[in-house]
Amino acid sequence: MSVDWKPKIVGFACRWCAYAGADLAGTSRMKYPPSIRLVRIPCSCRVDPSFVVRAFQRGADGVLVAGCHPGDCHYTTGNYLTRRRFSLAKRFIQYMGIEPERFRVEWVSAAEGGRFAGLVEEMTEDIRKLGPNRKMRERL
Amino acid sequence: MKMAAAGSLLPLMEALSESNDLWAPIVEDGQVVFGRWKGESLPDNYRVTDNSPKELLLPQTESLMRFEGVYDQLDIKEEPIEGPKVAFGVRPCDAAALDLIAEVLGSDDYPDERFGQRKDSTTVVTLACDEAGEHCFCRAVGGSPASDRGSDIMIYPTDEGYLLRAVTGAGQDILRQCESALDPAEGGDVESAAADCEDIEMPLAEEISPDGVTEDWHRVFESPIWEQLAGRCRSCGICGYVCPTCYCFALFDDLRGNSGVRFRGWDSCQFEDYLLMAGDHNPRPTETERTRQRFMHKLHYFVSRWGEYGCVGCGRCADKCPVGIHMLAAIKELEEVV
Amino acid sequence: MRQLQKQLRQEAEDAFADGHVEVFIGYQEGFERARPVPVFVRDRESVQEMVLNEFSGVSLSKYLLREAERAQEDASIGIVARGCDGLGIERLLYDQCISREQLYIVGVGCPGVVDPEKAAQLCGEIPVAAEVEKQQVVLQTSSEELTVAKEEVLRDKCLKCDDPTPRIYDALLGEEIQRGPVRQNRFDGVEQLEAVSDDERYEFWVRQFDRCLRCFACRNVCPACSCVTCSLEEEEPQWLKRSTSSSEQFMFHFTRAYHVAGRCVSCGACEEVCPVGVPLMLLNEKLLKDVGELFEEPSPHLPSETEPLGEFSYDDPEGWRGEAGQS
Ligand code: SF4
Ligand code: SF4
Ligand code: FES
Repeated sequence: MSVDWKPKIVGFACRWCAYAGADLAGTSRMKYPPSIRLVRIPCSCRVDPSFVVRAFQRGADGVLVAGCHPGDCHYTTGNYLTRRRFSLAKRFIQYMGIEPERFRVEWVSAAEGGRFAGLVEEMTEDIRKLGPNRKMRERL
Repeated sequence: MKMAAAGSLLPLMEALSESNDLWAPIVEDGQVVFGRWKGESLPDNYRVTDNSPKELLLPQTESLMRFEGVYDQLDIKEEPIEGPKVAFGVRPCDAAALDLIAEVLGSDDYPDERFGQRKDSTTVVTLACDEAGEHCFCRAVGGSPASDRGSDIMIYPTDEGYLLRAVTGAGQDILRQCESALDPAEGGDVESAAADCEDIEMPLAEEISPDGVTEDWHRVFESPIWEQLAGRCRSCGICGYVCPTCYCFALFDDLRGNSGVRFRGWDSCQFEDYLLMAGDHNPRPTETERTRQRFMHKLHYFVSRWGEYGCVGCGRCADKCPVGIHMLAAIKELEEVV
Repeated sequence: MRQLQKQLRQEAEDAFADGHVEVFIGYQEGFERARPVPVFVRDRESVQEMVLNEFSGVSLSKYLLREAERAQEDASIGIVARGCDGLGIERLLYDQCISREQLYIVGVGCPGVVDPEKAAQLCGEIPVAAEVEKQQVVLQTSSEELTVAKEEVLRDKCLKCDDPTPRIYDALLGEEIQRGPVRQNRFDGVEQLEAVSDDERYEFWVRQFDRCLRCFACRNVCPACSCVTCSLEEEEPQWLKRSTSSSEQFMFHFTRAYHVAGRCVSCGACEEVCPVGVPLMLLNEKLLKDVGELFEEPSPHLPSETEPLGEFSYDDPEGWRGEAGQS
């Protein structure tokens, strides 16, 4: 593992909650590793599991899907569908060989800036231990 | 003329692999495929591999060049070609097929350089057949279980072991490399070993002949048989992809901002979108036209252009088509209309 | 089976005579006896071409999609269906690709279908006839008769079958058969694979997918794959390149399997047509197993009005919890 390798995490964050949570972490000047690249999405249920595979293909070492807590979805039921979809997809992606630490689904509300920062911290650390991801990675 | 030492091909393969990139039939999760050799003897009783060795000369996916920049600052780098290979344990039909593809891709008018380079740098070691498989019919389309077409070295199985004969200079060179795994073939008679292979029983070749179909192609083209045959087609690419003589490919660009890769990938005339044009026009809109195209190409178009069948009788389509649309079935049904 | 074939021809003939159907999808003799092929009978006279025997098992249900598309507005289609095809037909019905009124289903209580490849291995040649009996299978070659255990010679998917008789039909040939011929545990293979390390599993799939030719046969026969434009052929955005690099193979197989998650009827057609033996059912079954576990579906492969990924319950579990790296 090269010394200056740093984990790269792609985060799909719901604009109503997790993205706002990340914002809060920022404006509150909380410290967390700069390893995550956030993609703002309208609702966690916009995330197709293929997005996760695509992220791993294009170089992500980890992927986070974050949405509103169950019951809080801006579109009422979106995240219940997310929950089903990713309960399955998460296991399936691991079944294909990706370590479970590399892909996480979490609920983060707009008020949980600290939780968001902690999550990124934790994921970064877990992935750092695993090293860079080479699975599913495309070689152009 | 040489004989494989100790009546086994394994020492020869070991010797070959020392200084060559050796490819051969290997067993992978129960499937016999043509792949990079992993140190084991040839699988028992294999007839032809699932995939044909054409992959070595025309990979299913192949990067052609990388590019970066825009307009006049475009930097293009051609993708280098891998080093030489030795293809071992190829069957005579598959070896002949490489030559057949070379007619098209190696033609003087439009040579495909990458194919040509690979063809030149690949040594084909062919194992003649001492038994025909369930769907073998090479003899019906001008081939033979002992044919050395497309091969650099021939191996003939005999009761005592394996007799080797270099067909080309390249073959000779390679044989010289692995002296240690070879014995002088005392009293061995290559001619008769070849003749034995030549004469193996091949019931399908007696039963079936495409000649009539080829001659009467006008009638064949118009025949209602196509509709019946194609009715059950799934429009998948199995037949074209396992076929050792199919060579269609398409070009694609994979772009990332200002840089990218141009690659080619196999295509099949059986796919619905193969001929799909701008404006949604499709000259071969249904399975009927597409199926007809496949067989007409092999039994007539190829013949009129290159003077021989575009099929070598390996029987893979008959092994693999899930709904029984294959060369043997087509010829048999079409024979009824001519 | 001879008896059933006779009945089938009679049923089909009657259906044509009554004007019930315009086309009847069944099997006919193929190039080899042991490999019957699908046939589309369009008139009463041709009914006699239809066969039904121990070998006629190629999946037919997906043809309905095309036939329905090409048929006249109100034309109806006949089809012979074993249990697995019955589920495939239900799949197409629930997905509203065809309508029940359009169909005339002649069901078969299926004792299991002989795999010609396995049979050839056992006999040294493709048998000319076979009889699936209560406990065993009798194979008939040109020179001898061979009695073998069902496990040895029936198709893999038949060994796991739970639904030998279609759940919907208009006429049934023979008797309703309740139990599959062998009923091995559906998830054995999945459990074995789950038990190995992530890295080993990854290597396993790399190897399997590396063989894949991307011929799309698996998708083309699947009754759950009924999209007008497959996302894998979409050009904008392009989810899948034509490249068969390992990375793209993962995208292909992930997407193919996941797109039928919760809708796969476990008919086994995909794995059966694959020319290079990619163990596609290991993917489908993993999803079926998890759907069953997570959403408490007792028989996740049976199609129903609502599908597991199209609905939810307020107290669904978070299936990603309880594993390493999850709080
Ligand atoms: S049928 Fe097999 S080879 Fe063809 S695309 Fe599907 S998995 Fe790949
Ligand atoms: S994925 Fe395979 S087993 Fe499942 S419905 Fe489709 S063809 Fe049948
Ligand atoms: S709006 Fe946040 S998950 Fe639906």
